[in-house]
Amino acid sequence: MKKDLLGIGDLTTDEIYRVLDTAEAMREIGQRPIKKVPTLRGKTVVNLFYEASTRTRTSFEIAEKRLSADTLSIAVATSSAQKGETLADTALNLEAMAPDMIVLRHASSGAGHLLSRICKSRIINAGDGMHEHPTQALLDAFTIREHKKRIDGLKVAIVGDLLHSRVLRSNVLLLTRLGAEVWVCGPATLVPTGIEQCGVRVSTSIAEAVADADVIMMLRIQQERMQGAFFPSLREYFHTFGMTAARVALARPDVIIMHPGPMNRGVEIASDVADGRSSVILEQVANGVAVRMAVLYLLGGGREGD
Amino acid sequence: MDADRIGRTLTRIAHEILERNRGIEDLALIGIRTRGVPLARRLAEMLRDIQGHDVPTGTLDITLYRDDLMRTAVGGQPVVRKTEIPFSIGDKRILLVDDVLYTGRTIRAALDALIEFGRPRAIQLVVLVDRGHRELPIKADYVGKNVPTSLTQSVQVHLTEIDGRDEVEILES
Amino acid sequence: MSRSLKRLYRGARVVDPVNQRDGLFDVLVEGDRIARVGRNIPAGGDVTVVELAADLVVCPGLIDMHVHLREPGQEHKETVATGTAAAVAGGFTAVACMPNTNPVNDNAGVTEYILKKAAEAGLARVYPIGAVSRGQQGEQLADIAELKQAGCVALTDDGRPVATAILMRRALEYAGMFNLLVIEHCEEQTLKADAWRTKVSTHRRWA
Repeated sequence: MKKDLLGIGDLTTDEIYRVLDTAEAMREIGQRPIKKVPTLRGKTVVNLFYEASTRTRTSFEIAEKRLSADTLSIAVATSSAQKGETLADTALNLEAMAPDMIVLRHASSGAGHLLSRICKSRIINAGDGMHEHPTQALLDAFTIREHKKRIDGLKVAIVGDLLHSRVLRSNVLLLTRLGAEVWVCGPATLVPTGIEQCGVRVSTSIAEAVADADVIMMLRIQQERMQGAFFPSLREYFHTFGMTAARVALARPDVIIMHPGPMNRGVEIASDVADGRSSVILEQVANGVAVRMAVLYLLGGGREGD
Repeated sequence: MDADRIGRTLTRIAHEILERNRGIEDLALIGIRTRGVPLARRLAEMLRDIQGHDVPTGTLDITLYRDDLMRTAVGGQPVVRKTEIPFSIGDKRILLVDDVLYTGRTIRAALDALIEFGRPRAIQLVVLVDRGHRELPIKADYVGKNVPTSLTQSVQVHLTEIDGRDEVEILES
Repeated sequence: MSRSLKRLYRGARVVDPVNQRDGLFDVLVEGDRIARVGRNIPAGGDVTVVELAADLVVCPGLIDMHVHLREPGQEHKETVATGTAAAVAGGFTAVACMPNTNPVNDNAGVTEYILKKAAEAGLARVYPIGAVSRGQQGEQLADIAELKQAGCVALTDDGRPVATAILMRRALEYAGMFNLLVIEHCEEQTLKADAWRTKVSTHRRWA
């Protein structure tokens, strides 16, 4: 296994299944009265977040604490980067204090790779630019497997802002590797050129994409995209691509609805669908902690050369 | 030990458990993964046959409590499996069950794990084979068989539920 | 028009490109259908013969792809009623109207209004062309899916060109999903002011 988890490509298929299997065991720890095991005791984990995030950061922090690691979260808005320090310099400074693992979220694609070259710590990518968000894809796969018992052969429809989504990229890589039939759907202005070469079917018709789907995954729409003229208005987006009960009915009766969060109700997803019986959105959040515990455990928590 | 001997040994242990514990009502069996689990289940069945009472049974994975973790290369971590203890352990007398008692480190880890689940009234240790060479002050309360071994030997327990047959082998490494 | 009403038009030049006709032909109309086009069609007893002057043209209704019906908002200049009346008077049975009304035709409300007025007038068929950008301001896309659903057949920011290349790109990508054409008003705003002077010097160079 590689020292860092920067993208899905860093894991072999066997390793992906190991993460999912280990996460099952980790999940049970969250159900105990004392939600702690001593596994990462004495290891220092730094959560270095250059982009605001409540969900992902909290999820990592809880995972780290459950494994008894010493965790430390740096929200960069209040830190030295605001004083103009480059990522590389921040990394060198951190490296001098020898943390065992760094969980990094950054607005630039490839930031984790830069950090990996500078630091001996294990680096976990918590989202870099428009590139990847591997732990999200792993927790999504875990959730799917929970409900469907398998991933290969399933029809998975991913709908939304495909162009700017790192969650999409990691999911496409992971799901196609495990043998799912992946459809991606969104306004023509938000479809990345050449995405068919990743082994997915592309459609601008939501009816076609979700027909008989086993899994529907919604991606977040950002308001700023209206300014870039990617689509006219939130209202029209919802009308053409929003996940409504009527569209859910086109999928299989046992379809599961997923969303990486945070949701825009009434934009990419109708409220009744988000709260409906097919929605597994809150489970995804719970599974996120277990999956991240598994990743932290498997990466070993030690520094290179120890 | 062959299958027959294993069977008789477990029966004897079941009776010993009943003899030493007055009353069976607050007993619970917890098997340590992997092979402690089928042993615990077999004991539970025997106790039910003898006393007509169901003893609650659980499964404990101690991997995350081992003292030798995180010292290996990335990805070299041992596989973690699920722990399932579907009952409260507070005020119970827990019978921890494992196949082989050797250095005692597994049992130490198991004790650490159990304490996280609550405060039992007592913990007793049941093992099928005690092969000596303790590195910690741990002692079993019920022993199937004492098998003196040298450090170059290894003791392999095979159980039908996992390996398809019942047998205890001593192998030279 | 009753089904039994039959008319035979004779004497004028018939121009019918689809059927590759251009010449002196007779046209027999029964009720609301063209029954026959040919030479020397016999007129039966119940047929009214209409003699036409030789310098007249009989042809399929013409379609004007670019009209301004000015309604809503500039009814002092034109309305759907007056515009379609002028159209049919000149042989145009269908018109496509531009969206630079006031308010701009960038939403279903205005589209439906125009279609309603056209139905009331009952003259030329009206095909509304919707706006590319909201208010034709050249910044955000108009609600294109909605415009299509309301009955628009194409999109334009006519009156002006589409403001930026990036907007044009997005419009083409987005409208493509609904099979809507984007029609461009081709005028380079920055050259407009000096137009006459530029034209004169070009002319001199070529002379």
